Amino acid sequence: MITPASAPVSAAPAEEEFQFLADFIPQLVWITDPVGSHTYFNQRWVDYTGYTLADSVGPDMWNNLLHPDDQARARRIWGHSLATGDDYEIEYRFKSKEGGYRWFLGQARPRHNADGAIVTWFGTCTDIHDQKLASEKLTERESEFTTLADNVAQLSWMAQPDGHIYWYNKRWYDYTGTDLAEMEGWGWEKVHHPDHIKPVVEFVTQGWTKGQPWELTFPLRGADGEYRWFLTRAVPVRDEQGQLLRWLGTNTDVTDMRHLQEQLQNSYNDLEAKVTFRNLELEHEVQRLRKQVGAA
Amino acid sequence: MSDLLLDINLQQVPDSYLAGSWRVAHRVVNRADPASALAQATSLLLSEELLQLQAPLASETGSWAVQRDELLNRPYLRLNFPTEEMRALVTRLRRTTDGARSQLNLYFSSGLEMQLDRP
Repeated sequence: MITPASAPVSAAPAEEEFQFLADFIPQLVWITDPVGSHTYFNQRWVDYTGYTLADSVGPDMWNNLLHPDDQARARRIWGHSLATGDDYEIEYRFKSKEGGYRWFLGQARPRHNADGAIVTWFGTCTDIHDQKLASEKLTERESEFTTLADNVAQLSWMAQPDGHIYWYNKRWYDYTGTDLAEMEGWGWEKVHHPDHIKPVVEFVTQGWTKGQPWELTFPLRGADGEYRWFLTRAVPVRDEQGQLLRWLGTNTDVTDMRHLQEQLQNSYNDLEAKVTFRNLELEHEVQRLRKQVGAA
Repeated sequence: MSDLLLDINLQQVPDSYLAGSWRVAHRVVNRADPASALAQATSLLLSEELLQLQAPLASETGSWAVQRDELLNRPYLRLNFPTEEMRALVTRLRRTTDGARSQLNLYFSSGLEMQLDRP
C-alpha cells in the first residue's frame, strides 16, 4: 500500500508529541500562566533541578535554585516581562540537584489569545555554562593582555596584513595625545615629522609588502608638540599555513640613547682634538728649539 | 625667544662669537698648577685684542687672538700674559639663537679645562 505524502506520519495525539519533543530537546522547558505560576516542567528540568511542579509553589524553590547574586536581577527582569508582555531573556545560574551551579540562558515568550491577552508563557533554559566560562576566561585573558600591553614601556600597535593599524596601546595614546578614531588605518602619519615622513612611508610600505620583520628609527610627535626618537620594530604573525594574519609592532623611545651616543661621539671627537692639540704644542716647541739651536 | 643653547659648528665659528665677558662657571684643574692665576680665575674678558683675567687675589692684562691650524678642526685661543703665553683649544661653544647667552669650553695645554658662561 502506498501512503500519500500528505498523510500524517503519526497518529499520536499532539500532547504526546509535545511531551516527546519537550523532553527530547536539550533545554529545560517550562510553562507558566499569565501571572507567572508554573504549570509545566519538562523532564530535563526535573532531572537537573530535582524540583517538580509541586515544588514551584511559593518562593522556596527559586530561593534555593537561583544563585544568590542572580536572584534580585532575575526577579526584576521576569517582573518586567510579566508586567509588559516583553520577551524575557536573562543569563543566570541554576543549582543542580547535586549542588553545583551552572550558567543558563533563560528565554520566554508569551502566547496571546485572539483578544491579545497573554494566555501562557513558554520558556526554556539553555545550558551555556561552558561557553560562559570560556567567555569569562577570554575576557580575563583579554584584560590581562590589555593590562600588559598598556603597561609595557613601549608604545605598541597591531595592524592588518596590509598595514592598516586597528589597535594601539594606552601608552601610544598617552604619548601622542590622540585616539583610535584619529589614528586608525594610516592616521599615524599625523604624528610624524614632516622632514622624515616620506622615507618612512616608503620604507614601511615595502615592509608590509615583503611580510618580513622590519625595524626603523624615526621621530614621533608627543602630545606636548616635541618630537622624540623611536626605534620601531614590526613582526608578522602567521597562521599554521603561513598566511599573514596581522602585524605586531612596538615603538621604543631611544631619544636618551641617541643623546648618549652623540655625547660619546662628541667625547671621542674632543679627545682626538685634544691629542692633536697637545701634539701641535709639542711640534711648536720643537720648532722653537730648532730655531734656538740654529741661531746659536 | 628660546633659551635653548645650541651647539655651534666649530669649523665655521666666527671669531666674534668668542669675544666677550666670560664668567668661569666650572673648571677641572687636572695636572695644571692649582695656584696659578688661570686656575684661580673667576672671569675672562676677551675684548678687541685686550685680555683681562680676574682672580680673587690677582688680576692680569694681556692680549688674545683666535688661531686656526689645518691639523685641527676647531679654533684655539692664543692668550698672551706679561709672564707667559698660553694656548687654549675651543672644545665646545653653545649659544642661544639671539646670542644673548653663550657657553664656551676651553682646554689648555696644561690640562686645565674651563667652562665659561656669558653673561
